[in-house]
Amino acid sequence: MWVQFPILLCILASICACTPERPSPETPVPETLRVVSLSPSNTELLHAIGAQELMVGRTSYCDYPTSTQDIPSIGSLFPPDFERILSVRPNLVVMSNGNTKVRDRLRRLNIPVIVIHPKTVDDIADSMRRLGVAVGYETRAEHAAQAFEKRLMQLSKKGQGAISVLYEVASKPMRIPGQTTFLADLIRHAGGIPIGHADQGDWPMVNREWVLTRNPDVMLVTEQKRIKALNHPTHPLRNLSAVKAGTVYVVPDPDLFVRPGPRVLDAIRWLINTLKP
Amino acid sequence: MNVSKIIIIVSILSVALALLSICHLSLGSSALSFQDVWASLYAGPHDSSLPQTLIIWEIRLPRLLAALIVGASLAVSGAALQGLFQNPLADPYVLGITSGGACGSAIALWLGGAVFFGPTAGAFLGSLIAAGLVLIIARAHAGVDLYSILLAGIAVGLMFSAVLSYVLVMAGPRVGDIVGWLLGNLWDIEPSQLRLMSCLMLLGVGPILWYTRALDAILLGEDAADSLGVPVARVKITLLISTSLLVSAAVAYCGLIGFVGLVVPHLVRMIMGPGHRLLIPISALGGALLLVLADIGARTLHPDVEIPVGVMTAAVGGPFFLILIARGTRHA
Repeated sequence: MWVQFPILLCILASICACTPERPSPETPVPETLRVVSLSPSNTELLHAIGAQELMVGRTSYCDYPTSTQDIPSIGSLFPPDFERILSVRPNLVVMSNGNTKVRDRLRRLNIPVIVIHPKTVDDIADSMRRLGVAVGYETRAEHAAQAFEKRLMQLSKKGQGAISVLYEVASKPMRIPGQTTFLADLIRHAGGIPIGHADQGDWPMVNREWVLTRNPDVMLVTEQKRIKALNHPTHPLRNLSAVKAGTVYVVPDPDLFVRPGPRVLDAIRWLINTLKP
Repeated sequence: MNVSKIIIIVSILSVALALLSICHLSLGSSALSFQDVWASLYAGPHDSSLPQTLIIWEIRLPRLLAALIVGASLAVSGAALQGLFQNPLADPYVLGITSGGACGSAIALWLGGAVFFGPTAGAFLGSLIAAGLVLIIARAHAGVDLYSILLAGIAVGLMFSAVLSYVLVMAGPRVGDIVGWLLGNLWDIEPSQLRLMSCLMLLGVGPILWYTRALDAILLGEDAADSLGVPVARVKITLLISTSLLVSAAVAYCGLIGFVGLVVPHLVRMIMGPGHRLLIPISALGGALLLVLADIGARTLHPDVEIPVGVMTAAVGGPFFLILIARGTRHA
């Protein structure tokens, strides 16, 4: 009995030690943290790390998740309406790289700005962590980042690509993603080879001749009517392998492909299924 | 025209401008009452206890002052050019300066950090290069021939427009920024820009006011003006440089705002007569009034989108110009 009791105690202690860890209380954040997001991708990242409750403003393009509609809109950034931004009294603005004029003006108005702009799919997890530090939600951000990295590792077919893919960002004039863009990286993660040149910038304009010589295996477009146009008997691109083989596909939601946020995993999953031989 | 009539008209315009300015400060995308605006103006720019301080002092007031300065500059330069060219269709766009400015800023917006100048400096550079080219080409002929200036202005304008078209094609995702800037806007004005803007305006308007009598004489024809002792060539060069400065500054800070320089001098001429001693200063008042009114419309007509102010001035100026033409052909 005297021997069994300590052993029982040790077993009981071990069982208690194995209960799942509850997230520890967050780093105390200032009660008055008021965050404005100036890009849809950052709004989605804030939601992913559980920080949407801190948001007091978002752009009119921020439409996911649907609960963002309850957050006041500060307009689009074309043109930027500083009055509306100031009227929600932000003490932190989260933006992506694009608009340096807005960023510089906000800094001159003494509003702290953080720039979150994942350049590759792998950067998204670190962006979540950085955002978590900025808003004081480090633990939640770490959980979200680890979950993202785990799912990405399970999904990714990077380095296994053999199918050439042309993603038509715009049709008149035709623009494709450059090799160093987020979109090209997404295609690689899905096991595709994005066609293009490294030195042509982010959104190079290509002509039909170039497309015919590259002759991609798969084409991705953003509208159904584009497929109809490509299949027209007089269209110059009707003889592309992808058009003849019927491997021109409409992406389900272009936002999944161009917003560097957590939903990129849905885009990769869709593309993997689409590219299956 | 008798003095009392002048005083009445100037008073009416001044009161209208004051009222519109108060409206301009009171209206915008964030709801502020007139009391909020007045309290903020009274408290000054450093009173951070009032939540509307930043909005009034950093956004609305600089914008109002810019509208006053740019509107006056464009109207004065339009009046001077119409007198100089003895042509009612002359306006700040005729010298190709605005095309140069548009091209300079488009290049800055397209290339971003790769060039040492931003859109404002780029527009200024472009405008001055265009104005310089026009003057050099015009002086290459004997004397400063006004027809040569006009043709040179058109040619230079077309050249820069071609470069602008190339930039728009190459700019890719930055096209939206460039087109937004080109449509004319006051949304980018910051307090730090106002000092330089007002200095440039004074530098430009000063010589024009100095030469109002000379402009009256030139209306009779260059030879007649010459025989009256007016130094015609010097007046032409000075006025061209002054108007170039005014237009360059306007384009640099606010993009392309059309019709102010064309319409306002005509309206003022209809009320005050063609004498430049009254036409120039009252055009300044009228130009400021028109641009403040256009900016109020630009910010308030649509709840979610700010209409570029250049679109508003065109919407008002275009029909007005058609009416002018119709009246002109009826009397012919």
